[in-house]
Amino acid sequence: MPLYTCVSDHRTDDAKRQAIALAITESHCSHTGAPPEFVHVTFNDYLGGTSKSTLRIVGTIRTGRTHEVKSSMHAEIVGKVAGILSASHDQVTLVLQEMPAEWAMEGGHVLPAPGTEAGWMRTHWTEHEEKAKHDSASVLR
Amino acid sequence: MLLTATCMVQEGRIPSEQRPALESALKKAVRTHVGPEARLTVAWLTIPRGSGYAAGKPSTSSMVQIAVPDGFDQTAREALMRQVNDRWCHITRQSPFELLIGATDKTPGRAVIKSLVEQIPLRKKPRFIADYAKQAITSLARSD
Repeated sequence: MPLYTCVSDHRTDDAKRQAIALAITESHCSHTGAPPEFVHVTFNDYLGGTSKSTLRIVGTIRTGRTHEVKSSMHAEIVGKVAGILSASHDQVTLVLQEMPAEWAMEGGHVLPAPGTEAGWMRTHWTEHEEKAKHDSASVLR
Repeated sequence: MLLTATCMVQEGRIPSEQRPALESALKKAVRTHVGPEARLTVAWLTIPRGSGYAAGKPSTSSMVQIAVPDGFDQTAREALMRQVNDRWCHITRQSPFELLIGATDKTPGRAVIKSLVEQIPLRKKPRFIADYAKQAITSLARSD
């Protein structure tokens, strides 16, 4: 978590998808301090989108961010995505839904509360990267 | 008590032959930690190549969201997620860092799904509902 699901009427081309995914990730991380590894972005053409908007984004984030953080992040994501799509800001909508961190698990561990990610990453992500290095070294041997 | 799980997987990442074993593992975990009366339907959403990203790069991650009863005990919730994590990674050989699990209370979980379903244009709704119903019936009928 977070998980941002983007739905649109038309398939957005691959370069724009990549740019949108990166823009959402950067904005989410710069406003919340969350590590980028947590940020998931998916695009769903099947759902199709409403005719009113060019791109509609539903973001599920952890509960606990301040109103200021959420609204500045919201404005930045909408602005960046509109820029990538050469659309006006009202053609991009973003709905943020909040879920308690303790309702989700990633890396085999319950997610940390907002603001406590650094310790979680130090403990669990480092352990993961060391194991991945060890596993790839084992394969090469 | 009927509960639902949605599994979002990246195209080509989880072979379809593994799905029955994964469904069975999810159902078993729910019966163990929610209660023997709990019945689970499992829906699958495949994210096409080029449509899933993590950390701004193409993703290999799977996402499993299970609806649990409102006010579900946190210790049981963690045990449920841990069992799902362990079985999923064992069956698929995915790393736990390629798996995001949510065990969300039914009511707020439904609000997220509702936000997504609201995006479906009227012309596509019958197909979406038919696909979902077919998966739910198949999932319920599948023996564990």
